[in-house]
Amino acid sequence: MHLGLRIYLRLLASLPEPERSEYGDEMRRVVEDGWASRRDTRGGIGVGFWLRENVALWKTARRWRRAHREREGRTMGSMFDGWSQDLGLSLRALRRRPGFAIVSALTLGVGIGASTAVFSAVHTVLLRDLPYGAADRLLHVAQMDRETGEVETGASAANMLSLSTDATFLDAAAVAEPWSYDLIVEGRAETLKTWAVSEGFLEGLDLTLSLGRSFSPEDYLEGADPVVLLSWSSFVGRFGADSAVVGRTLSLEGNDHTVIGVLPSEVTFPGPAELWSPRPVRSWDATARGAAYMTGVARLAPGASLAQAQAEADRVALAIAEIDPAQSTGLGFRLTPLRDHLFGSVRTPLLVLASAVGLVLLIACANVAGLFVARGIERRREFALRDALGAGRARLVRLMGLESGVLSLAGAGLGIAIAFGSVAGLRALGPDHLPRIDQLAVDRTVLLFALVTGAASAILSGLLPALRSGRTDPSDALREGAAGISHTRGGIRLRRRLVVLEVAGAVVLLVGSGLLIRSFGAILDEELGFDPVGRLALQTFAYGYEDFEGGRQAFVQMAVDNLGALPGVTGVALTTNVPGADDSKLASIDVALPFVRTDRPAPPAGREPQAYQTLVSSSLFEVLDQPLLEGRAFSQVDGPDGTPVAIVNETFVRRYFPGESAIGRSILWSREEAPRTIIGVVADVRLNGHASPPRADVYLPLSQRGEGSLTFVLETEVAAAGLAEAAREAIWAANPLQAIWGVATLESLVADRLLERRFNLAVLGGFALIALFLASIGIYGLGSYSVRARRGEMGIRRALGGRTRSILAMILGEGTRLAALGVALGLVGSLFATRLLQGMLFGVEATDPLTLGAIAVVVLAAAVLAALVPALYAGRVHPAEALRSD
Amino acid sequence: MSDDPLRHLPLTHVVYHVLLALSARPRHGYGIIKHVEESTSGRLELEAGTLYAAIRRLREDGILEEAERPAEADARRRYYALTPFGRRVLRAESERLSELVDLARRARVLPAGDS
Repeated sequence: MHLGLRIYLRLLASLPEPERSEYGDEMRRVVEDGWASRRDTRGGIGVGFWLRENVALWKTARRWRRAHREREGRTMGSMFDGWSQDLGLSLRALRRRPGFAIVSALTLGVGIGASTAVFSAVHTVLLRDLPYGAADRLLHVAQMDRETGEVETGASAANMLSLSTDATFLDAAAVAEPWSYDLIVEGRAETLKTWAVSEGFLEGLDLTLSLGRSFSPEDYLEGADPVVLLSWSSFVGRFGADSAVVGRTLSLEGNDHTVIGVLPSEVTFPGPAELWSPRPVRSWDATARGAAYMTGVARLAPGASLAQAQAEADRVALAIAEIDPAQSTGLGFRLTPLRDHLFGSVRTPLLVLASAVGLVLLIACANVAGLFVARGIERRREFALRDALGAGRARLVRLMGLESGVLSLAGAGLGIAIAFGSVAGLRALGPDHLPRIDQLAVDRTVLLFALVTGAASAILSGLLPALRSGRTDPSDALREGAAGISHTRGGIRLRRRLVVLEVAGAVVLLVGSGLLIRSFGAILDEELGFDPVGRLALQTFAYGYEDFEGGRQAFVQMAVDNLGALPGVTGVALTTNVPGADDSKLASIDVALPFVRTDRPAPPAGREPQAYQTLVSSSLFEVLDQPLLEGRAFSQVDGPDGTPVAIVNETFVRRYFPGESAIGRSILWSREEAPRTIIGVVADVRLNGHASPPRADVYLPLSQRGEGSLTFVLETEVAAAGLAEAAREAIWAANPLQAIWGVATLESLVADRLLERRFNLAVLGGFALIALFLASIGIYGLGSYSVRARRGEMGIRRALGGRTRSILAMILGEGTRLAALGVALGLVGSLFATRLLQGMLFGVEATDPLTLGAIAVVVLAAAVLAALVPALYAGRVHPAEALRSD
Repeated sequence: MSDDPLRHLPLTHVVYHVLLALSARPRHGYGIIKHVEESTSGRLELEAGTLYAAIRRLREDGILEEAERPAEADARRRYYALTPFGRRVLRAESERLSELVDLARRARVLPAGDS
């Protein structure tokens, strides 16, 4: 057929009624006649002819459609009367089938509720603006080793000062140094965690204080009158939100500090603290360019790009390395937008959860859509009757659409209630790894999301099946008996497809959570290298003992004695850095220092290897149950006057003494005069939890280097957490003015490291189970529907002596077949979906055959169970009863 | 019908040609197109879409009606004819045009004819 004619016919089919039936055939004939005569007289392919004809027809169609619309517009009034009438009809119809209504609304409610809760987390954590002015120009600055690519947690004060003076693309480059002040409350010292911020930090964040004023340039000068700002939590928690506190003085470690203002509640970066103090440029800054434990922040200058700023920072780093090769060889800076720094690590898990919950919602919609299809088929005769009485197709579609709308609205209401509950739960549960989780709330945006989701569910679950059912011919439906299923085949086919999709979705979610479970298991299988159970740690900084009788040593001895005397305590040890500390409950004091092997020529300055240095008491390895693999532990002979000694770990030996024994060898630290002899090798300890890689650690005896922070570690035979108060008192009994920075059980520190995984696992696993349950309901629903639709047929079979078993097999077979198809589809889908999970897996491949196989078996088993119920029922149908039902 | 023919004036030139084509006898759709093409020496070629938009409108206005099919005609074709009212509309429009032509002559835009 000529292309022009084909287009013409397509246009003809688009003509509105009644014009299409009235003139359509005739117009076709006329245009064919015209084309025939035209071809005979002039030949050619008639581009001009068809162009003219088609354009004219298109214009005519448009004109006719417009005329119809205008006419309908005049009768709108009467249509609205129909709406309220139909709403009444829908409500009545739903009330007649409460089971259907309740199951649908519950299913949608769970889907919408879960989606809304996850959305509120995504919205709060990822989408909401940072509480800083022009926050998109804020950068986090971290030092890095250009050769190894290793990135530090932050940057040193001196290096940030260099950036702020030498980098023109960066404004206000500054640091916040973790600090603490002791405040004497009722005769006991309390630690107030503090951010000591250099000039430019608060200015760079560009925030408006809740009360009072911020620091002035004079406040940052050495020797200025001491001033502090309160964090909002401290203002509320410690000072009862009394605004008179501004202007008052606090005695912090013997000096009066004036409170000049209060920070707004939204400021949670760089971390929780009670006080903010101005940090002057300190005399030792320039000699501590490697002290990268401070938080570095800079603001991109107006008009500058991140790439420009990064290039400039690279140049500044090279210049620093030139003037200070010993500390800064290989120095680099990594600039990250602050938003990415804060939320980058939780983005993937949250997006995984968001995708997962979207899938759950889709499965819920598919389930309800399946119910609607079944209901549509059941009500064919009712609808056919209404149609025959002149209700019109649009009206019937509207009727079903309204029902799904009512159900989705109920579902959205239920969903919002569920969202309120889960958001409150999330906040109380407080997965600390989610930044801003304490600000989680169901606000207007979240409510809007719930409503939009509800509307989308209404369309997906109700309107599509409604449109389908509108397609049936009333005379067919009226003629057909309930037992005849020929015309409901389309509906059943749709339901089967929905069930397959549900199963596939459930399989994807189950595979995802299965992989997370396997990862979790793999992580727990990693050796920690010590036993955290029953161990309690109390961290102090223990400085300012110049005037204490007997000095710091005397205090430590008294405290150790007091702690050892507590009931249930079986051992006490000291360390400068406790395994598992992550700066929230206990500060992590990681000190990596360069050293050289004395039996080898020294490498050039700045190229020395580095190892982490921890000072410990002789009892530490025993108290932590950290195995000694070679040599001996520290003992009495390793006193201040003894030979300088050190104990190293396995990784240290593997890395720096490969293939030889380290015992008896010597190393020289950059800051020490005399070399230290290695006397023992201990097992690796995973300091940052199960999933962290082991690293090169060196332990020195506290008896030879009495300095730095001190953490008391208790080994107990009772529940360690219950001893916390008594242990504090034991330390205060030695010195009431000794502040205790933090108390924690090592078990809780280790568990905290797994919290994020546990949380993701619990939520994703929960979603997967919901999905499996919904899919099972889908299979069950389909099975029981086929049974009902074929009651007559089964009755006849049984009356004729058919075996119950064949009927049972038929229903079971259908369920299993669909489930198998869904499983296959889901396994293929999960190959793509689990790519999202890649970064969250540990020790397991995304295609792990064990997980995939196990999930397939579980889902098939669930499907068989779900199909068994209606199948057994079908087997019991009495022939007479079944035949009567028609 | 108490309708006033003047209310339908002026006619578009497509409508005028369609009415002229039907003034002698009923024709089917393609017949109208052929006639208009011949009588205008090919200057006006009607598209089917344009023709039926006009037919639908003219039938609604009572100017055209479906006519009996001549005995020898193809059974699948529908024939259209002018209604008596349609004839009055055609006449009224022709008179209006004729008056316009007279005006043009008097203004010496056209040479004086012998009609």
